[in-house]
Amino acid sequence: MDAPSRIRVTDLSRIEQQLAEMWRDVFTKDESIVRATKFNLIVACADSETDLLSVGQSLARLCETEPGRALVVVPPPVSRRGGSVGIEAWVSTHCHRLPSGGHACSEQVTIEETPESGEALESMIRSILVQDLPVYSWWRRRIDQDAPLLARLRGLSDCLIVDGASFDDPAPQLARLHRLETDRRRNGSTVDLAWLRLEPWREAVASFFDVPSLRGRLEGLTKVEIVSGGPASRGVWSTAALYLTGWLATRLGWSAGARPTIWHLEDGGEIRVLPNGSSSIAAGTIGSLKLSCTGNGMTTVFSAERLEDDYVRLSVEAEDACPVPQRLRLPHRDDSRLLCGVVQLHSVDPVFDETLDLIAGLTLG
Amino acid sequence: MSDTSVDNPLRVGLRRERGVEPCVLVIFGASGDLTRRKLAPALYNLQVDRLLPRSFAIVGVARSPMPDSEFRTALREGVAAHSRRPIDERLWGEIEQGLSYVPVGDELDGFVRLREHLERLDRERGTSGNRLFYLAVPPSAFRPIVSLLAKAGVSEPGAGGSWCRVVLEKPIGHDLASASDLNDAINAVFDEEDVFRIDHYLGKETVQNLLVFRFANSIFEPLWNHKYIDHVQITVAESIGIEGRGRYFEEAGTTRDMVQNHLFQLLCLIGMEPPVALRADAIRDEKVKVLQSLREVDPASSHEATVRGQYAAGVIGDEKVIGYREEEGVDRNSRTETYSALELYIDNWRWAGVPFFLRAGKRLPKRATEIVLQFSGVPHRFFERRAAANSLTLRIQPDEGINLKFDAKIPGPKPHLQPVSMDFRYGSSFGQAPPEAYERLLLDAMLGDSTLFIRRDEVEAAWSYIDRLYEGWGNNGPEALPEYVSGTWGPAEADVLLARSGRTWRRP
Repeated sequence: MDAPSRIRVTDLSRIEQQLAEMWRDVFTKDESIVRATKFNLIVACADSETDLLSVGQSLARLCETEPGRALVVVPPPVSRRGGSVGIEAWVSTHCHRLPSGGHACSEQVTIEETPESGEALESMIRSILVQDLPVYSWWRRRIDQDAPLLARLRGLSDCLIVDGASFDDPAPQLARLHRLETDRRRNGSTVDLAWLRLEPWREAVASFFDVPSLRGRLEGLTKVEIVSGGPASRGVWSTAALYLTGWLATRLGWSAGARPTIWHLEDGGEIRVLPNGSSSIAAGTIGSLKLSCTGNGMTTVFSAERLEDDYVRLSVEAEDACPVPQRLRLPHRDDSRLLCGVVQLHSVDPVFDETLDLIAGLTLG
Repeated sequence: MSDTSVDNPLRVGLRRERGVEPCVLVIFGASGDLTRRKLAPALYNLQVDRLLPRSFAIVGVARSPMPDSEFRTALREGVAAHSRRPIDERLWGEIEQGLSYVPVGDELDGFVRLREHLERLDRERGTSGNRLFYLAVPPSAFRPIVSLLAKAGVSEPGAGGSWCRVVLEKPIGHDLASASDLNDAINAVFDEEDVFRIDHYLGKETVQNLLVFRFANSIFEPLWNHKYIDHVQITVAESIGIEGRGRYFEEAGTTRDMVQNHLFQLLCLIGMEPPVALRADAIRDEKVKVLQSLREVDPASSHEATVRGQYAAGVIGDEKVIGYREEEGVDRNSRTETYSALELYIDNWRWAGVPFFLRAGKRLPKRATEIVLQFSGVPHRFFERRAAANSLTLRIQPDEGINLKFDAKIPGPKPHLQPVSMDFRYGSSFGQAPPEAYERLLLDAMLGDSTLFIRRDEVEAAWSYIDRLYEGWGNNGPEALPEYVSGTWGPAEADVLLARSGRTWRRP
């Protein structure tokens, strides 16, 4: 279906009324359209061009299953910067065909902020949030605690969504995220899409130890090797590698050593974590994860290795373990799928909180 | 229930907090329709969803000799034809490499060969001695198979906490005595906690949603009793006939084939009290109490509270179909019912005096399973046009969802009312197809979670009620059953069953 064209809002104080008028026109033309809203999603785009385009595509896919009202805040284009023009806004729709016939449509309000628009922008957003529905804020910019818009969005929303995969310098960014997160725990929550992308990997690694006879080998874990994607300039520690390390540490009771590559057990045992970056793997994704365990004079190596496409091969190398490898397909998880999961099933994730607590204190050096 | 996976520290906080331990699934009846149409697609989809264990194997068992390759081809064709998702050759390859076939007849030596085969799989594929025996065979074969499994030492859990479980398809017996005998024979080999009696209705998301709907929403449960509900209707309608199963159906009939299991399970979920916890036995305790609370039927008057019928020739869609007594394998003077309607009562505090009308039939106009709660009318009516009573419809299949009907004022100067409805549709609300019932049930059986399976006392309580009906029908029933034209909603007598109390069946 063709979406109604983008309509410029001429009177910002009447934006809700203008939305209603737009819908009335749409309904008059096509009675099979349903306007649906399950949540509010405020998106702070990194720029008004490529990022806005990418967000628009994600929202269109998200709204196929989860209709909501999106308020997309974009910085002004270069041509308008420094000018004295105030906030501008447009409304548009995302429609999809329903299995039962007709179309369900969500709406998007795109707001072009200005450096001086702080309070007015917050007031405008507040006025067009659909009442009694949850408010999610998707922050797509650098995490800067002093960013006025970030502070405003935190105050407006029930859940702050970030994507650690985009962090060029993961350690300080995660430390900032941790400070935001701990502030929020009293009355909201934070979700990192980079953490959600790791769930299939965490499940795959956990599945090794569903075998009771292999579970005890976790006690003899001595080495963890993680290969993750991203340009070499980011160093060997990606956000994903940090999260996986933190996750293992919190689940297995490790404490941090002087360096993030050395961890300690209560009994004095030591675990080495060896991260590696690979420019041949997409940023934010894991290439392989290998756990080496020793005990009873035997070494067991548990490997999860990304193959072509989205397949992963799991294998265990040990004298007494089943030598048959297993191939799994990772679920396709683009931003819209992850957001869909957040909107449908969001709840506080204590394992994420514990992991972030632990890795926020690390100094990567 | 095995809880070893719960102790996996890396599972904490994951959406799937328990993973399936390594195991072998042994399917008796491997060459049959159920295996090809339901089990193989379910296993494939579990593989796609990464729910099968790393060390896993499937052993097909049937009488005829067949090379492994032929068994693999048959299952692959089943997946290609019936899976809800298209086949991914690489993922199918993962399943295929663990597929094998063992021909086994009625002799002990076949079961000994099976044991040796399973032991070899334990060594080669790391399946750890865990076995799930799935009996996709006629019920008459349950007892000999279980007995021979025991004699050959296949059903004994090995050392190191391994487990052996058995999955049984309905029907479990054809009356109380035969069900008890069969249960005794099964329990002589398998502990009750290792017996998984399938009613595939319980694997449907919409059926599981009944518990959520009732016990997770505060707005409905306060109304869920005799004070506000006039009556309840449960309908399981099929447009198909007996599909070549004449011989089986002649022995069973709709009451045994559908009412004793599917409809009574739905009745239990609608009628039960809140369980103390979401645990298998807590839920099943409450379900069995419903069956034990059913008002006793006096066999002498059972025909007054029931209607049975047989389909006659007619038209379904644009297809002409023959009558039941013309079907192959059916006695020309058969008195086996293809339609059954019952009025029954749950004699407890919650449901005192509320009639539950159950009906199931073949060759009805369409396939539909639904539960309707018809609320009582308002105590005092002062609108000019009579208000209709509210109803809540829980659609189990197809078009799964929930519909609440209430009256609204028609715009205009006069207070005229018109029924309107609020609709919830599973598909459009969650945007994804729910898994097939067999996916959930196979997974739960491998996990050892018996919540969605029928416990022995449930089966026997249901048969106890049905037996009394048959006793009455045998002694007092009509010489010939009333007929209904295929493609209609059953015999006229079924309408009379409700009409005598001023009620009518809802048309799904």
